[in-house]
Amino acid sequence: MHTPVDDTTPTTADTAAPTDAERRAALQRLGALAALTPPVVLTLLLSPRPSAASVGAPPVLGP
Amino acid sequence: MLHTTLGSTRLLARPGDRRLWLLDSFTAALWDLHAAGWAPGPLAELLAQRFGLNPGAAGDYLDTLRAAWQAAGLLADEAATAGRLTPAQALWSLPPPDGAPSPPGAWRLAVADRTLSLAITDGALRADLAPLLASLMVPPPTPDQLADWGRPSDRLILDGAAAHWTLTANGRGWEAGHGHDAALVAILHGLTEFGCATHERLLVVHGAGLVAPDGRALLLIAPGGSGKSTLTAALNTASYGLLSDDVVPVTPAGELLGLGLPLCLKPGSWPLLVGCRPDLAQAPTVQRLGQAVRFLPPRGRVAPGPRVPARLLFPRFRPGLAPRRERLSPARALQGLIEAEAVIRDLTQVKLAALAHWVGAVPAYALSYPDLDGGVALVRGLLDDLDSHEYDAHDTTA
Repeated sequence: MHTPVDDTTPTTADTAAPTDAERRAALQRLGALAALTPPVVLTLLLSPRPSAASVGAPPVLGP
Repeated sequence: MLHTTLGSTRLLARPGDRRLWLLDSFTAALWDLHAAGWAPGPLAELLAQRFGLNPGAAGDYLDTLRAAWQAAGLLADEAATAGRLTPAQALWSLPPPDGAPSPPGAWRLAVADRTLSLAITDGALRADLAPLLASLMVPPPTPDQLADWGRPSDRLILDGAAAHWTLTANGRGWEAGHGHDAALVAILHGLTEFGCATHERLLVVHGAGLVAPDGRALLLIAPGGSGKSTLTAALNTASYGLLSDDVVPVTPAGELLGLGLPLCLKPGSWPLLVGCRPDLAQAPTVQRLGQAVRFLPPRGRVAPGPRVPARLLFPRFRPGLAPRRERLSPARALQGLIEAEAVIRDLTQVKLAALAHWVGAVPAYALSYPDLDGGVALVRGLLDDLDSHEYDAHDTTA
């Protein structure tokens, strides 16, 4: 499996047409998918709590 | 972008970002092509060729896809301000004092994989905490044992009287307050924080860890107020050893660690547990964050960690409905863990892959039960058979 890069990371393929080999590989990859289905993207939000306890960290008095 | 697979879905994340993204297999395949540099035009041609679409329909599909990515924040070049995790000072990371003797009368406690020294100057508070922490107390080390220990004991000192106290952690003032209950809660939180050592773990689960009589470990995961502690107390009474209630640290190898701290029970559970824990009626009521609770020491021997869990269980108290269990996909199990406020810090590619592997490897079930007996029976039944209810491998929804 190749490594996905961030959307903002430019690649040479951004500006160049895909080669036949790239097209064949991409078609092969899409060939495993039975049908065009609506995109499903689920976003999960990690807890912002810095603490493992049920409440936030207690106030710090200083060194 | 960090990435890994989870069942049939793709899991993506950015370091320092609160968000994780789950993509179904089709969306993930197109994300890969997009990330590999395929521009919208050639990608639309590819879709048209593969699925026999006209160019307009393929373009419309990609517009929809891109809008979904945009809405989810996948196309942003960095973590949104609201999504960024801010570094936090961790109590457990304070270096322990080296060489200084523990205060006279300090208890020595084994919490998870750490040994702590706890000193309390207030006699009444000390007397109230002693039975709650009795199962964690270990004898002081002999001189030859001291030489083998690379790390000195962490040290908590609650100084002063109940009317005004100061909690010191590893020589540093950590919290000050007034009142017996606040002091007791501060000590239990301090022990929890040291035991969890969040940054050292794969994650810290908001849930309960138990060990069945046959030695297999279970992880109960649920948000606060779901009845999880009540079911945990009932299972503990039914010969399930308690690893940890409320929070369970999970090692990078996916093993549960036991904190062994007391069960924290809210008023709704008191009448339900009166039969199996008659000592609950005599337990003092403590104000914890504005709510009345009672602490109970675990029954039986505290289960030692670390243990790889045999099941991830998502219990839900549903009075009036028949007991029910449902096998969950790895994606839904991860969703449940995160919705129950698991703490996951310092996400890296290695950690994300380990998290996905752990969630994918342990069978997960949603349980709904109408009463405690039904809940205990459901848990027993899950361990008694291998279950054939397969999850929908393509489902990433709740």
